Amino acid sequence: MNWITVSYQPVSLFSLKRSDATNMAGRSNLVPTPYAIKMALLRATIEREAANHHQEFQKWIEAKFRWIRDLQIYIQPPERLAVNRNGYKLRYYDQSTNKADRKAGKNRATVALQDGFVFREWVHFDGILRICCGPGDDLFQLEELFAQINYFGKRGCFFQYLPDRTERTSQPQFQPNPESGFTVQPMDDFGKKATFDRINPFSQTQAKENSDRVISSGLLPLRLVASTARYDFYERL
Amino acid sequence: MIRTLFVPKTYGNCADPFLTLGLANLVEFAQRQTENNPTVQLIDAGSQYRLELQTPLDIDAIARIEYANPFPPVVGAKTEKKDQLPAETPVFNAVEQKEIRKQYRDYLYQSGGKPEWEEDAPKPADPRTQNATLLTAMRHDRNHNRLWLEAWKLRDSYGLLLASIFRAYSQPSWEAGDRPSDRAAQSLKKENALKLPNSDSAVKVYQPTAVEGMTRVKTDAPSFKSQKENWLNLWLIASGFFHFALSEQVKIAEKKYDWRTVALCPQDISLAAYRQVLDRLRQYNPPGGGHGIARFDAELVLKLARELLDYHAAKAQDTPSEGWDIWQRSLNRFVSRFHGTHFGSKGQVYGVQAIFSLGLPSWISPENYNELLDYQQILDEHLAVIRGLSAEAGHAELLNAYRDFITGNSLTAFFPFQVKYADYLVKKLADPHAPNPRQFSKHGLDLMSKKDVRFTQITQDPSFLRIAKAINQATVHAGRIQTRNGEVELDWQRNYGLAQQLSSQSGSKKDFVCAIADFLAKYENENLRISEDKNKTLKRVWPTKDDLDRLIELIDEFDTVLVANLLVAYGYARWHKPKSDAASEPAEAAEEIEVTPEDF
Repeated sequence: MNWITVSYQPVSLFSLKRSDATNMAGRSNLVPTPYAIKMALLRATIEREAANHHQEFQKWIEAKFRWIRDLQIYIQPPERLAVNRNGYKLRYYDQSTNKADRKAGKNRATVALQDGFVFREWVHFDGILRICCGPGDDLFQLEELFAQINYFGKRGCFFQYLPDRTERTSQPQFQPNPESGFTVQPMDDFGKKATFDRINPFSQTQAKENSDRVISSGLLPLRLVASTARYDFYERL
Repeated sequence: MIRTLFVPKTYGNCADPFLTLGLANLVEFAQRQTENNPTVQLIDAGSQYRLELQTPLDIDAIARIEYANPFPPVVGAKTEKKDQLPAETPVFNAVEQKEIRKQYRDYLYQSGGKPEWEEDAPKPADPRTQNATLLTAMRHDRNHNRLWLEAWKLRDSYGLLLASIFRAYSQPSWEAGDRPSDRAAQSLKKENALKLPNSDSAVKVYQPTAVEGMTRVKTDAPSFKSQKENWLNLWLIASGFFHFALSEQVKIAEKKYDWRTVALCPQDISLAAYRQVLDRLRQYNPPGGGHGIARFDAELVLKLARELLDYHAAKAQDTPSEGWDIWQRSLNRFVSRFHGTHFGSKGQVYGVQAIFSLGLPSWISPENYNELLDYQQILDEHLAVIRGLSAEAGHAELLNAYRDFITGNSLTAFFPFQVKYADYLVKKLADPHAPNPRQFSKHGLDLMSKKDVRFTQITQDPSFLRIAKAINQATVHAGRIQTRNGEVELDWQRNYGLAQQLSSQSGSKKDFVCAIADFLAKYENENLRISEDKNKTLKRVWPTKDDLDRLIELIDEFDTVLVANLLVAYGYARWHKPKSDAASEPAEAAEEIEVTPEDF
């Protein structure tokens, strides 16, 4: 038994901007990606154990990071999900004006902002989200970490961990099947050579796409049942 | 031997169908050049599109094909660097085509939408005119022309380029593990020492989710930048967009227009049929953008459905009806939906405001030629209803509800619209100065709901029909009405707000039964009062207690909301009457719609 399957009950709407989408047209992933799940595991690890390892933090976190990085993750979406489309008007950072100001030697008291609208999608889950993770010998520790996760994706997209539904299996569940997979979602994941330093947003080391963060096409067992200008409705196959 | 090409869906927006169509266009061209059967079947296989060819590709012959423009460069009034385009290249002049389109639309308006064959009548513009106009409006003509120019530079090796592309797309992506465009680039480099052009900007018309904006591998250095995509993918998407997109300016406020562009997603259709249906829609019968977004969407779906039925009707006349592939198949088995992008005006520039998809009505599935003609009539009826509504006249809520129904694949979404429309209908009928509004016919409702057994068990029940007719005669066919013989004052007054009342009480079985019993009691009292006058003949249906009992049985058997919705829909529909009663029938000919230039 070296694979664990955990279940979450969605508590609020879910949104996670696709990695290949810009902030102006932020379509959402339909389910959390392996990258988002591993980042949630990393966060839970740091919050739970980092205080005990502050002396040799770098060494400890690199080992933990490698362990999480090398996990394989398969996702089973809920039975039904509806994607709602929204547009927001907001003011955002005006990079060109700031650049021009800097060139001209102008000193602004405030950052230049501009008006604009952005597109966002929010996903309503009807059912349970299941995540299969492995292979690993330390499933107990993995289970404890999953139990501490209370949101995936955008902050505030809460999920309730369901302890009674955790399963341990010798084979992974929910592996994508190209013949029956009907919906494609870009699934980003850690690259094989990614390091904590490169992934850490507080470090100055740059992360590279296709090396530290790899985006591949994932197949979800979902079928688009209805679609209008305001929502898409999917059912699990 | 290549008989099938696989196009993985990687973008999740209109770029996927555009890329597929761009590739299919190339395949068709190559088959013609090599004197093979050019038939290409476009199939949506879930995670990928499949192009099925009737005859296999002759790769050796294709490698020797000479260059021909897969799409022309676009030139508008402000197109920059015109001189970079080779002098001998024919260009698509967006300004000239736009003027031709305007003249044709004016002519349509003048002729009331029914153009007559005259020698000097204006001809319709090229169906791709609006796509070229959108490219120039977005200032993306230079991106389009740059993509064209890079292919033109490879003209001496054009056949090799096509052969590499077809070979790369002949392998399913999950087997190969990399993108077909990368495989094509690698094979060209390895076998022919040819290098494909560098990546280019993924501008918003080609890849709406990758517009200039913030994206980052990690949240350390946010920066705005134009996203890049490899040249081959963009070139195919640009070709698909130019030939097959449907773009239109949509009015969103006084003197303020946005652009809306859609890609029709093939499900299982030949490229020739796809092109014919789409070209007829864009050239002769485009949805109007002058009355708001919701009406544009609704008209788009209705008119496309009409064109698809027309296409099949024309085929069915020459083909034996048995065994033909349209029967028993709903329209969305040929084309599944529209993927679209809404570009919001930000003054001089446009930004991506929404990415959407619109479904097609799955309830349209004719079983024989006569039914196909019936569906054509229903679509005309729905179009007539929708053309009576416009956002600027305050009907945005109605139009939104209708759009949710017609684009949502589900018949049950019709009823929320019908409840709102019933109120609007009665309000218009009561206004002596307002033109008579269009109504849905009972025959149309029967046909719409006939595929669902739950619906037909209710709608074919005699008691249900008598009560629905009573509602009709208390609301639509009441008070002062227009007939073919002029205005007539009936002996009973119009009941206002009944649709809202029945709908609002349908959440509880008890409340709904109380509401319908209350209505029937008042209706019966009115009938009794009229019957007292010996000089008058009662020309109204008279439901009995047995009808009410049967309705309660139906509510027990089915859902209260469903029965209530159907009662409202049928109650406010146009009922056919025997010819002897025609004098008191509201004159259908008197139904009027105000036509404006924006309708064309």
